[in-house]
Amino acid sequence: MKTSTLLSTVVAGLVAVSAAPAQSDQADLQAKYEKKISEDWVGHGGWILDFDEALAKAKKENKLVFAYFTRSYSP
Amino acid sequence: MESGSLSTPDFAKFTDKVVPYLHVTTHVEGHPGEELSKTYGIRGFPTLKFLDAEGQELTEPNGRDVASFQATQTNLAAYADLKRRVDAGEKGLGPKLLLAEIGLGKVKFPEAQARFAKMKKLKPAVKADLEVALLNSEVTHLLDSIGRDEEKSKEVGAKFAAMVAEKRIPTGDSAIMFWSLILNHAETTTDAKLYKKALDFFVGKFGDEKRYEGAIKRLKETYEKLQGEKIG
Repeated sequence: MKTSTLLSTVVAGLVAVSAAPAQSDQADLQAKYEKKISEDWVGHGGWILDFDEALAKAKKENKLVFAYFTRSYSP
Repeated sequence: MESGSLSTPDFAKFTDKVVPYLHVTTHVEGHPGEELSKTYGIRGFPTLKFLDAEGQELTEPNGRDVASFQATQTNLAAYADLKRRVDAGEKGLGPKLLLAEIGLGKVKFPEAQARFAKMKKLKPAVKADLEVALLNSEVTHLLDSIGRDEEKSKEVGAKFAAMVAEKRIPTGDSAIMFWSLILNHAETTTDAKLYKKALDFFVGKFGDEKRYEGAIKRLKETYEKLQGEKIG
């Protein structure tokens, strides 16, 4: 096996940002988003979804923001 | 990561020390903040970043486990403290500041190396810490130089093989890419002994994870082919 296969496996978590699927229905995308944010790990982490709210809280509590960027439009 | 490190009790404890912000790129027209991933130059998902309260990007964690998140947070706090003290005129903090800057990726390897070379009479422990950090920085620097150039990748693989021979082996997050290039180099040069060292790294790192079972099996098969005999 060429190691590139392993490489692609071990770094598989990083999926290239792709363009919006042209055929995707907006309602379907909205449903995917809602499904994503209802997953257990989101509640577990107490994630804030509003950027300005997160910054204001960081300022008030003198903390850093730990930002997690993910996607819902595809798995 | 979502069902892994982000779902652990340790992560819940970690979020007490930071403000956890979740950005989801949805492709839903008009979704609030949809463009934020572009603002922060996100090139792939998922991506983690530490930001200050002004939204200024500070750094990315060195790994995807909670220990790495905490280590990066500690480095950021140490750096902020050192920077404040240096700016206030306190002397003798150069080595520690350099260490923090390397750890946070705030200084590139050539500059870090030049600054280290000028440092005299370092305490042995500080010197040892800096040498480890510099080695990791050197590996990251070499990896960054590859881009999409396959020849350059081979060249860097040969350099990494030489580093293994010198027992100069990185311990940071770049170790995965380091050993991946070693695998390629060892396979190309049919160096079974070197290949085994890389294989051992991946077995140690990913051997317990079911999703990497197939990849590890293929690496073992390649090793068997290189070696000409079966391994356990």
